[in-house]
Amino acid sequence: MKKAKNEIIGFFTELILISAFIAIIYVTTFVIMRLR
Amino acid sequence: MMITFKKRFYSIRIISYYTGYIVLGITLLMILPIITSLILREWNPFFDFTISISISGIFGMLLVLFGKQTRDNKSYVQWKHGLVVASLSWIFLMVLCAIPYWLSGHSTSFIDSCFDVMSGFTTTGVVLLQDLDHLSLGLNLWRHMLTFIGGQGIVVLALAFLVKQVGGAYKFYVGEGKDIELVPNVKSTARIIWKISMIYLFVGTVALWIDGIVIGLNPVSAFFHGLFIFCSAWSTGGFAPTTQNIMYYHSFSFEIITIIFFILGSLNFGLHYAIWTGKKRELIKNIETQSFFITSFLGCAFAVIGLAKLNVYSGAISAFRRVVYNVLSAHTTTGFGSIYARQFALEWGDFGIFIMVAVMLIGGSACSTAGGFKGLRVGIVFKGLIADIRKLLSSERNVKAYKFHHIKDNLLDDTIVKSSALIILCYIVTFSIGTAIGTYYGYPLASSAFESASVTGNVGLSIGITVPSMPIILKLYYIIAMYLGRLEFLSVFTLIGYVIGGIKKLWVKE
Repeated sequence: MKKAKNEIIGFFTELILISAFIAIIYVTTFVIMRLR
Repeated sequence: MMITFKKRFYSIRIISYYTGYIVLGITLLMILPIITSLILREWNPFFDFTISISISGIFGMLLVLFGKQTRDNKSYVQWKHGLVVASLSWIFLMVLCAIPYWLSGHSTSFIDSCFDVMSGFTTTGVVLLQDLDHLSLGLNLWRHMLTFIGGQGIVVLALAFLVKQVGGAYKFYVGEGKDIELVPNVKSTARIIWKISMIYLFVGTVALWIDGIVIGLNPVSAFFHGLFIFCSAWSTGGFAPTTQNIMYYHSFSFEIITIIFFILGSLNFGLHYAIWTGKKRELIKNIETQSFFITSFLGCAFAVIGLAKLNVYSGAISAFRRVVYNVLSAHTTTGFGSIYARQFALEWGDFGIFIMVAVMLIGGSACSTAGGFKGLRVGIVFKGLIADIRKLLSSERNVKAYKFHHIKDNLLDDTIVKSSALIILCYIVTFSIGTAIGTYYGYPLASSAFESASVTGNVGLSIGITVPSMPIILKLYYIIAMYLGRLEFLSVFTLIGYVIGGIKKLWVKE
């Protein structure tokens, strides 16, 4: 049970962190395009 | 005389036996496109695959029969056997798996078919097939299966699931460039890799399927597009069922979903396993992810700055979808393209191409589906450089041990730094030779460097050089570069050494 719970949490941790990274890059792109 | 003869054939029999089993294991997978073709009544691909499975099956059986004594004598598998089996299996499978491509009539020559198979197995994604939009579903399934299993490792798959004999399996496993043991048993490690991939296969296919329906594809078509695009994204392959690649879908949401999955696919399987077993901080602490996030962030930022200066793209969304998407696709060595090949040459300028070449060579993570010389090695060499500078600046009595974190804390010794630097050097030499051959045939330097980095790093983005009419020498070199880049040199060098050693021995008098 604990193993399955860890796997589900791990799965969503990966998804959330990668999505956050993409969001950071998007914001950076937005800032660069506004500042040019 | 007789004893020497037997001794010489001892190793060849071991190699033949295990190579035969791997060939048979992968050949068995042709059953899936055969069933698909049968259900969809695609008779031409059905017969193409039936002929191919027969030829490959007979060849695999002959190899096993030749090495049958290996099983009877319970022969010990040495390191050289493991490395040679891994590299030789890839060559045999390239030729055998190319048969259905060639029979389909979509290739202009058998070399082109081999090129596409090697591109699939190595998760590169450059294509020489003609009329991609009218490929049968059976052959499309086969293309994407090749890239999906190539990403996880064909030798690993064959040894872990498809054959019973797994004695000395770790030696084959290392030969394929995957040297991490998640658990002490190689078979269990391979199964963990496949478990992670299959869970993501399910989630990713469903996500892309739903999105495909939302953007207007019919449900059946959306399912196959979702499945194929996921297989390519996760394995950082870059194949797509249509000529226009990811541009076919004209969808921002589709692009975002693929970015998430190709970044996940480019991460180390050891890292996935660590996070899934409760070590969540590993994603932040690991030298490899640190290296990847820093270089990909800098790559995206500089590419956007460079292209903003050229006024190529008007707004943030346009720049994100055209610039960031391609840089991330190149860095993870995926090869999905959101612009046409010639746009790189005509619109991106030398600075944009330079960024792309750099990120393509760096690539993704070690022991993942990605290519390139890997973030782990970049991180180790960078840390080694800093450690050396610190040693020079500190007093001579102050002896400090330097460490790096990759799943666990590891000592940063000279041997690790040296071996990482050597592999990076091998990649750069392979890339430089490819660039030189490209320029020899009259292609511009920037274009030659782009295409050479793409094949050496197993990326798959093209600037327009890779077409069926390209010089045959360049085609052959690109096949070799993809092969070397994927197997990370060691096992291929062992195979070459083994063959040269064998030839030399033939000249030795008894």
